[in-house]
Amino acid sequence: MQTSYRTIAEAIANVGEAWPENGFVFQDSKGEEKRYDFPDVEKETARRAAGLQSLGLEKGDRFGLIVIEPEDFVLDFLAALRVGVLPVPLYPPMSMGSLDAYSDRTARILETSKAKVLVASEKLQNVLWNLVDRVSTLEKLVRAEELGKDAGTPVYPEIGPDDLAFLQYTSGSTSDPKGVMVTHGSLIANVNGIMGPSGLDMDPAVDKGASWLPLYHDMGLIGFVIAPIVWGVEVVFIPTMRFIRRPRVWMDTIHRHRSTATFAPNFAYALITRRCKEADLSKWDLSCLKACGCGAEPIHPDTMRAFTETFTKGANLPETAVLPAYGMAEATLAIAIKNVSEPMRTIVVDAQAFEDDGIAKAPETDDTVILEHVLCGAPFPGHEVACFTDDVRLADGVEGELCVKGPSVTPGYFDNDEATASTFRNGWLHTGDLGYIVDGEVVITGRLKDLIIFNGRNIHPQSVEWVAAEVDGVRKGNAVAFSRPGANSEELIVAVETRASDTDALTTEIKHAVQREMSLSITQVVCLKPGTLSKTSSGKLQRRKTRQQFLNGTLGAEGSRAMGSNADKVTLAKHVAKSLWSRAKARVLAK
Amino acid sequence: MTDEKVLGLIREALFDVAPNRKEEFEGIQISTTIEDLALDSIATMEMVGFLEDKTDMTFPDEELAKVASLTDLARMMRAAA
Repeated sequence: MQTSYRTIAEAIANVGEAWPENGFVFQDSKGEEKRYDFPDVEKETARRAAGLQSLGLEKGDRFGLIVIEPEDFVLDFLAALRVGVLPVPLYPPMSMGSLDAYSDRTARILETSKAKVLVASEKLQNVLWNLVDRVSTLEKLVRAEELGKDAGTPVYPEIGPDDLAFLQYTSGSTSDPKGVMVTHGSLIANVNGIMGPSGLDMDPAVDKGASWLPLYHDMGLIGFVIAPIVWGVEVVFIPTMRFIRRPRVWMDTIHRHRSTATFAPNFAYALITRRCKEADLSKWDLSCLKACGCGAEPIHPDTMRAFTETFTKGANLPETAVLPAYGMAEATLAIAIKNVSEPMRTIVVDAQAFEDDGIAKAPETDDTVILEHVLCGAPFPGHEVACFTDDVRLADGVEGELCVKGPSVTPGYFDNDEATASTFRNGWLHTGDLGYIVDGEVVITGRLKDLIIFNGRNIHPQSVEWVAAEVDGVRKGNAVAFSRPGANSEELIVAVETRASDTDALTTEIKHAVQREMSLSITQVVCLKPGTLSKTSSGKLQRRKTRQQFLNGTLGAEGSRAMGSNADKVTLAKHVAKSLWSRAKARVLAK
Repeated sequence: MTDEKVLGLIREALFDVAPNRKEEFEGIQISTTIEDLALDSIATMEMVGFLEDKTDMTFPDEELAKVASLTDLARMMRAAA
C-alpha cells in the first residue's frame, strides 16, 4: 500500500473523512487523557492555522515551537503544515541547573532559522522572554494554548511536494546549528517506507501507535505524528518527562490502549527492563505489541535480548517485536527497518579482521575474539544504501561510510550551503555513519565524525573537549572526548593531559564543568602525562585512535592508573555458551 | 517539611536510581548542588519521579529548570506540599 496524498497538508485535510473512528489521544503530565478523533484534529488544526496567519506568518515564514504538552505541540505543528508556515521544533528546558546553556543554544537556532515568532507553552513564557531580546529576527512570543482563539478561517495557499514542511535542527554544534529542510515530498516518500509493507506494515483498522518520544526529534515527530496522520493510524502520546520520571507508564499505556507499535532508542529499553517489577509484568499483556522499533543511537544486542527475554516471558511480548532500524534526519527519518515478522538478527565477525582491515569475516575457530553487529534490514523500495571510502564504492562486507540515495533524502540544510555541499555530494547523502552491507541489509558499526550519542542526544566531542580544556590544570587543547559502550547507553570518557599531581581533584573539576555546561555526566576521566595523547603529524588529536587505545587498555601505555581493559571482548565459544545459557535459563524460569 | 526530612527523601531517591553510589550519597548536604550529584539527565528525572511518588506531589517541568541545588529542590517541595 502507498498513500495517494502528495503533501502532508492534503493528508491532514482528509484524515477526518478517511478514518473518522481513529484519532490522537494526548496524556498530560499527570496521565489524564484527552481524545481528538481525526475529524476533530482536522477542525482544530484549521482553527490554529488561521491563528498562525493572524500573527502575520505567511507561507515559507519560520517560527520556533517550544511546547511541553503533546496536545498543543501536535495541533500547532500540524496547523502550520496546512498553511505552509514552517515550524522549527525546539526542546523545552528540561533538566535541572542548565538554563544558561539551554538559552544559548536555543537563541542560536532561532537566529539561524530567522524565526519571526516563538510559540511556547504558557508555563515557559517567563523562562523564554529573554530570547525575544537576544534573537534579532524575533518579533513575538505567543502562548501555544491560545493559538487561533478568535481567528476565523485560514486561507490555504498552494502547497506542492517540493515545498518545505518544517526545519529539523538536529546535528551540528551549538555555534553552528544545522537545520534539515524537510519537504512535503520527502515526508510522503519516507512515510510510505515506514508504514508500508517494507516497514511496519500498518493497517489503520487494527494498528495503533504509542509514543513518549520527544516531539522536537524526528523519530517522535515524523514517526508518530506525521506518518500516522498520512496513514490514518491512531496514536496515544505520553509526555516525554512523564516517561522519564516513571518509565513504567510506557508499557502500562501500551497495555491499556492495546497499542501495536512503539519506538525508542536503546537506552529506553534498558531503562524499562531495569525499572519494571514482577508485579508490573504480571499485570501487563503485551501480546498486542508487534513492533518495538529501536533506533537513534547504537543498538546493543544484549540490551535488546534482555528486554525481549523479560517481556516475552513476563508479559507475552511477541518474540519478533524488536525492530532495529536505521535512519537520520537528512533522510527525513528512516531508511531501513528489520522485517516485522522475524526476530532480531545479529552477525558475528572476527574482531581482529574487522578492526584491522574493516572486513566483516566469519570467525574461524572457537577462540577467535568476536564482535556482534545488529542487522537493520534492507533499504525501503526506491532507496539505496551503499558504502564508500574516498568516493570509491566498496564491496559487501567491507566497512566504509554509509551513503544514502532516494526520494526520502532532503534537499540539504537551511541557509547553510557549505554544510549542504559537504554532506550531499555526487548524488549521495553522506551520513557520517560507518557500516557495511551484507546480503542487502544494513549494518552500522560506528561514526566517522566521532559523534557521541548519549541517551539519544547527539553530542559533538569537540564541545565536551572545549569545556574540559578550560579547566585549570588541563594542558591547553589536550582533551579528547569519546564514548564506550555502556550497560544502558554509551558512556562518556574524557582523556586529558596534565602536569597536576592531584588528579582526583582535577577529575572532579572536569566532571563538574561538563555537568554544568552541558548536563552530561562523564563516566571516567583519564589523566595522562603530557605528550601521551595520539596526534597526527599536523598536531591534530586523534579521537578514534585514542578511543581504541582506551578500549584495548593501552592508552598512556605503562604506568597510567586504573587503566585495565574496558573492551567487552568475547570469544566465539563464550558467545555461543552465553546464548545457550540464557536460553536454558529462560526455559527454567518459564517452568 | 524540615531540611532533614527532605534530605532523607532525596537520599532514598538517590539510592534507588544509582544504588552503586550509595556511600557517596550518604554525605549529601542541603547545600549540595545538582551538579555535585553528577547524575545524567535521565537519572536526575528518575530521582524527581521517585520524590513525586513518595510525596504524592507533582513538580512542574518549568520549575525544575530553575533548580540548581538541594536547597532549591527542598524549597520547591515545600511549595508543592
